[in-house]
Amino acid sequence: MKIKKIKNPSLYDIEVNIHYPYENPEVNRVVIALHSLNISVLCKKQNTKYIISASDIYYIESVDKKTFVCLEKDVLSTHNPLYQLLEDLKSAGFVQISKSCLLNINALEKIRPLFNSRMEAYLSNGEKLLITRKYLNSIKNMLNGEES
Amino acid sequence: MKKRLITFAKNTLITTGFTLILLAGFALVVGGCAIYVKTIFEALLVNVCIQLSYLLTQKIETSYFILDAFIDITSIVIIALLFGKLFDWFISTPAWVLITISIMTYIACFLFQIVRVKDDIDFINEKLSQKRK
Repeated sequence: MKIKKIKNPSLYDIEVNIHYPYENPEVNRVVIALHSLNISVLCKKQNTKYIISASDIYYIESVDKKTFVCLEKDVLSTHNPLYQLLEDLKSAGFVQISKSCLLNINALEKIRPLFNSRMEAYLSNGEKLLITRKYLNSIKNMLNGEES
Repeated sequence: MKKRLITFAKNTLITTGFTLILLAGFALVVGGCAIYVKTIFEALLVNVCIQLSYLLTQKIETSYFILDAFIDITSIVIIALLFGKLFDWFISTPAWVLITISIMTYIACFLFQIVRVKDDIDFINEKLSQKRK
């Protein structure tokens, strides 16, 4: 993949054009990565509001009707419900892995099967999450670039 | 949607086939020599209903694997017994045979699914390692 940077003072914002000979998963991954830079989530921690870029989020978990946004080493809360976040962040590479958890596919290192028909996801920050069998196909499709 | 329908039909035919083989096995043990043609279609109908109920029970997600399995098995056994009563199966087949067949079919499908999940995990890990290169 060739990356070309062109400075153009007449533009108001960064413009990205992707040229490709044919559509493949790599193209979709580039699109997802760019989308994740563009999408952000409004979060809160100790009464201070933060705008967090989707690419900085590792996973989002819902516990007792509260939604927590987990970064590499920090956890913030958000008012947005999980289903709304899934809609907003799908194009940024987020996928549902259980009833209460969304995972950023870019943070996923590997998956290991567990005996009880569930799976364990190993994240790049060393954390582990449970994956329900029902959602395994979403991860497969996302990696195949079908859900972008 | 089309893919889901195909998977549904495939799973139904697999479990129907397995159920009939087990039924034939039990019949052989007790000295039976034939299965009625209508039994084949009745078994197909029961398996369609079991697959539909499985789609519903899959939506129930608890933190305990044992509880999930208990919900699945209970719904399967209830459906099998209800249809057993409806089709008068208990005249020739005791209820415990029906329950055993239902549980054995569930275990066989569960083991088959473990293999399928393992393949999916290998595929995902392969894709992830390609992505890192």
